[in-house]
Amino acid sequence: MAYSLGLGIKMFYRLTFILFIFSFSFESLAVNKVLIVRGESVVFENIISGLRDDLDGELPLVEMIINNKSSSQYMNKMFNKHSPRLIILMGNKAVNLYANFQVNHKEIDFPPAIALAALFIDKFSAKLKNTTAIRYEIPAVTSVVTMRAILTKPIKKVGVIYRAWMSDIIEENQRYCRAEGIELIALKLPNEIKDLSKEINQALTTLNKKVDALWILNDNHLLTRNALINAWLPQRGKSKLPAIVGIKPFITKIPLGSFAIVPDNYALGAQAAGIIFDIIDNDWQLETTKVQQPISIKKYINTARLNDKGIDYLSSMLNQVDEVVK
Amino acid sequence: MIKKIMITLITTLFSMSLAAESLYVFVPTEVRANKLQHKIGAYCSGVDVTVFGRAKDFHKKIKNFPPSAILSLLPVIERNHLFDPTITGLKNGIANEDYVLVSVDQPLNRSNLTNKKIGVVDLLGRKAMTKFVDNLLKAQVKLKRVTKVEDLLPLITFASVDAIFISKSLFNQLKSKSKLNLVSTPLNIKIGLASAALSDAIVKDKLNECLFSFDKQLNTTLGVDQWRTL
Repeated sequence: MAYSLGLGIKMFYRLTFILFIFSFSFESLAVNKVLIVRGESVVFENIISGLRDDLDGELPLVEMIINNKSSSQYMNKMFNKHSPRLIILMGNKAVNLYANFQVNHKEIDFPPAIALAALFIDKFSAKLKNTTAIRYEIPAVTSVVTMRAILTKPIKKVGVIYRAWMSDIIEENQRYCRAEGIELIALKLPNEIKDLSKEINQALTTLNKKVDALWILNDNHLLTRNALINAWLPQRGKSKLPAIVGIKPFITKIPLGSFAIVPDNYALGAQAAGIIFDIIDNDWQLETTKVQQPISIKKYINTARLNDKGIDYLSSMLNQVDEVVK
Repeated sequence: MIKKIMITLITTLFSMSLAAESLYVFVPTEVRANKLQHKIGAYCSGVDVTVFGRAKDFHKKIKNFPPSAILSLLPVIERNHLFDPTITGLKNGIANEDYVLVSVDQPLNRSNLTNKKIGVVDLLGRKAMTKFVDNLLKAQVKLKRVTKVEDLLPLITFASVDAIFISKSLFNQLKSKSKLNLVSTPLNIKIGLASAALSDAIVKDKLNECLFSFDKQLNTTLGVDQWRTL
């Protein structure tokens, strides 16, 4: 009897100790939650897949799915419920919502945040407190070096058309290209353009005479339906120059370019996980709020279009491409 | 009932025999995994070949569905204790190659690597890879892992790291691809080339037959020029 009582007391202490350890672990897990703010999209799911794989269960992720009606109050509710230690913002909607939330809740000591998959994030990131970002646009140097490795013809001058507000981004791209022996010849258009088709026609006519290839930006204001029909596509049809585009349909359904260089969303998630580990190592502080470049890409090439235009390429390099459109 | 049991038994035996003939490959290269799988598969008839482009996927699959053989770089093979190395890759008659730190313009000081940001292709996962590189460099560095070989160049282009830790042969490939002023810091570190290991000796002959038939181009892609049985 005394023996079993002693055993019972021992078991009680052991259980208490285990419970104490568990409660301590849950406590720390609860403290270190990562709140992911995003809309519903396969792109965001791919990014989360890379993020989750690389974090390897070290931090609990809480997803906050938003839509056009999501409000600052909803975010406040999620902050109160989860007390996140870190925020991941995916897409422009999430960035805008968080910016509003920060404006409406100045009393909060905002945790570090990372913005991903948001277009032209440089325009918004400066408005966000304690936030860094990875750009979603692939830099010209990455795309051109990729194309240069596949084409037989030397690529020394690359043309681009951009709107005035992007001047800083273009200058940065020119700097990176210069280091790789590439001259990025950029033609600036005003932010508001009266006759877009005419301007694009003129700009492309000028560039076609000066460059070895084109880098076409994903700017909806330059790639309107009207401008595509009246300027881009007729000019591209006539031109023998290779062109890099930022979305795959522009080398398949819409014959704008022959190389599509797009972000590798899974790797983008893994890159974000790397920043998270840096933040943890830095005692949960951002090392820098500077916007970072995306590191990993997916490459698509339309060889039928290259053949039509008489642009020679190294067939042996095609096994380094994610998809060849024939 | 008996029929059901028989079907289950046959299915199990069939899947066991398939598993006994499976080869998982993880050798970081610029060639896409699906293209490499197609190529290796053509030389390994009767062997279910799966090529992985990411370390994470490779290790996860080995854990959940262990194959009968793996083909990978030696540090990866050595981590998987269930597999016995049986074939080693050679280049110029040597089973390993020199690794260097590559940076832009200025070489790194070998004796001052602590806290330097070093880029590397992930082979082993975050913790194991950090330990592995720290041990090799004899310094605690800040490791930036990438999933693909081609991601190393953007890392130094955008100064996301101070240097990348790569093989000498990859350094030569990078120099032919990039016009950056790439410079190397010699380290006197050698890492084993691609090797094959088995969990089941029964498939040894089949694996030999398969690897020794690889053409020159495939061997070059895998970073070797011949194979040797251990």
